[in-house]
Amino acid sequence: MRTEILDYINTLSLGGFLLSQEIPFEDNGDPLYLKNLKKIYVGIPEYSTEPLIRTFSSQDINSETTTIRVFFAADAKSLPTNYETLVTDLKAAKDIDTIANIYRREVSVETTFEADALVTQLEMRFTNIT
Amino acid sequence: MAYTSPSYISPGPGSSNQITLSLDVASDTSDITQSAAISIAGLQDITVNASNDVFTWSQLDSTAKKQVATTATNSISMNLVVDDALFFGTALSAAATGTAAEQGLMGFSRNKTLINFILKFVEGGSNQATADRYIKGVGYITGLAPTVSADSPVWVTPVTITVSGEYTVAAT
Repeated sequence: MRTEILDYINTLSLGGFLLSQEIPFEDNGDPLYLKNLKKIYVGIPEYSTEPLIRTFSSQDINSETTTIRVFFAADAKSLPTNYETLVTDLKAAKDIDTIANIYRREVSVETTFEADALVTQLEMRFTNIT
Repeated sequence: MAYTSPSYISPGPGSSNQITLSLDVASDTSDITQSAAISIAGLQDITVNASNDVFTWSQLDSTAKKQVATTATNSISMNLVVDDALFFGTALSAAATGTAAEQGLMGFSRNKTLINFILKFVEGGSNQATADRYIKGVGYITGLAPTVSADSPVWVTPVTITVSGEYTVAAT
């Protein structure tokens, strides 16, 4: 699923931003997206499963949610002119049809400030039946 | 009088006391033996209905009506999650002469196939039960109404076994 997200972002017009294939690990305590402003990082998937329909069979029908986070940071003092467009385009990643058999697609965007950097985190949640 | 603890029947998913329902094609209304039955998977709930009709009359010597139970209308209703092979059968155009596996629930309904059923209530050895307890009978599959929605993207359907004749209660 991370591959599909990366492929989608690769098709976008990113302006002054760049896409990294690396996961957003920390280097000396600092996440890479803080060390490298205007670089987009895609995290690895996280999974959570919960029962959707209980039955008398030995196995329930479950819904499994795959969560993928996308991070990037930019100088808060002089925000890139395409920031809003980029966020809108990244939010649309939840609807890409290369990720199939999903019955619920959600995305949320959260911003925080780290010193003079505006950190933007998109959390995409894809739920399917298992 | 000595106290006797209650013996509740508590089927649970995945337990040895799990509730099971099996269906097979019946040759006639007295055939409740199964040789090539299908086991119903994905049961969400099941209800055994045994509704006696009542004949009521009044007598001049009584201030209350008299009643007597007459014939019963029996049925078993349930809801289940649709399983492809179980619902459609292994042969989509199977006739009533096909096996239970070939016809599936949809075939039973479409062909008006006389079926027999065995519903296991309780596993032997649990609490005060000394043997498995079953309700058996013959009837027809009716009331299929598969449904799905965007919020619940799994097909579920009610199923009714319209029972012809009496239930047979058995212990093995």
